[in-house]
Amino acid sequence: MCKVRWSLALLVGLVAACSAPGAAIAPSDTPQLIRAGLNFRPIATVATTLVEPLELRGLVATPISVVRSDAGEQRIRQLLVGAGGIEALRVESALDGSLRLIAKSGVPFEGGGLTPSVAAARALRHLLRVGLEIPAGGPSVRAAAGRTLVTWTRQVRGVPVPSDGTRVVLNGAGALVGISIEESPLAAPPARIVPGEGAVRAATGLLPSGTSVDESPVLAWVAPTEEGDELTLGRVLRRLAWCVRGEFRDGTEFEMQLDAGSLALLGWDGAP
Amino acid sequence: MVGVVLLAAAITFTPPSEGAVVFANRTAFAEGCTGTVNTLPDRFARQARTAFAGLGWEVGGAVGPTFTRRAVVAGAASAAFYVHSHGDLYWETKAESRVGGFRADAGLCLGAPIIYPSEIAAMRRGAPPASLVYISSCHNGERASRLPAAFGIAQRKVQGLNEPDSFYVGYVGIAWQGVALRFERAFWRGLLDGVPAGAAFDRALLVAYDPEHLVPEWWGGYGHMPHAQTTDLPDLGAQRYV
Repeated sequence: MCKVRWSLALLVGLVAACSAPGAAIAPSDTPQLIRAGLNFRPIATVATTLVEPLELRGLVATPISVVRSDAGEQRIRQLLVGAGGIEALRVESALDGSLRLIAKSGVPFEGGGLTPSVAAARALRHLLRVGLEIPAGGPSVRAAAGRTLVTWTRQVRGVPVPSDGTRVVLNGAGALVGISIEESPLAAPPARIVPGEGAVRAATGLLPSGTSVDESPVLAWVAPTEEGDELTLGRVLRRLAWCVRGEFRDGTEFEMQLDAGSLALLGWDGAP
Repeated sequence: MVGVVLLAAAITFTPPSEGAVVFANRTAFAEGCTGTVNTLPDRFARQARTAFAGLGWEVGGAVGPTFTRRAVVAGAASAAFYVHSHGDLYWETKAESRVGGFRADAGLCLGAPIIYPSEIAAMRRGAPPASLVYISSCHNGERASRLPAAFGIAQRKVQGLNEPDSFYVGYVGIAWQGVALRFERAFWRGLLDGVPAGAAFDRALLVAYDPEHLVPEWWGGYGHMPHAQTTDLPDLGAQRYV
């Protein structure tokens, strides 16, 4: 499977490198790639469903490139740029063609904010417009910096995979700012899961005296902290872990992540 | 006494307003203070340094015990400023109010000196507003924090006409390091891709971090493209699409 992916990536890279710089909204290399068996959605198709016809005027497609996402996934990247070469729309797809990211630039800060139910309804409408699957369960809705984030966190066997799932970002009037879909690979779960009390005992043994520990740890699929560095190129397998929270003497909160099978320390998180 | 003399010396030294500084608190998160190895502060700093350098700035600053109040005061007038440390709406006696700020490293687990906005404002007197300020700590993205004003940046979002040539990022409430690292990485990648700061921030919002663990905020000009003023926009090679 890995070899097939690398071959596809190489093919995309070759065609992208050989193609002429884009000069029109439809990238000239897209049909070649589609004929070559890569079934990703051309950015022009996505743009016509998301951007008003007048806004499309003057936008130019740049050559397609293969990039890695922040989580290390290989993706096909397509861009539309406007005046001065400033990016207006970005679309990224996985090598199997699934849409992973749509990001619009310059979406105005308008409207007075959305209620959670209206935001969720708008987000679903945007997902449907671009033909994406509706995620299972109810989303969480949070406001940040004049935008509204509608997030469906991925769950596997009832356990959350933090930072994985579907996210729709809206402006205060419900217009689309972007959509992202993240799905990390998971390691096999341990044959036997150590009870939560064992995780609390193990964490307490590592911490300085005077630290208070929450007695109710929770399970989650986590990425080991020391892997997935900005210099790491590969994807990091997420592992099933007990997340133990607590507070240091000065009130600083922390979370320790311990492998649910071996109780090995996988990661650490703190709140500065 | 020695501290007062050093502080006075630092205040009389006027650093160039060009250039960038990156500070990160390593000690408070190190094994000796928390019981576990934590390389996150170094990673935060590395990301910021790479981004600032990519945008054409010469980068100074300090990571670890040399990140002192004096070092911050000396670098406060820089065009681009990044810090990762403990932050809060600290009470400042002189102002008789909660004003924001962050702690230096100073090699201390607890009780490291606090750098208040007024100290930064004093060092920046007469300097133009900073081009890019990133305060990677808890609470300094809240309205009550006076850090944006200390860097000459008004707490408003401007998009379109009369955008200021400044951009400030901070976090509201508690900010967890794990998700902040991902958010910041996406923001820096956006800037290095050549998108304006506001669009880079929007793109970072799309990173699927847990919004319960991080509430980022910004002020300044949405379309501002931070870069060293000594040159035109730096050549970002394959990273840019212009």
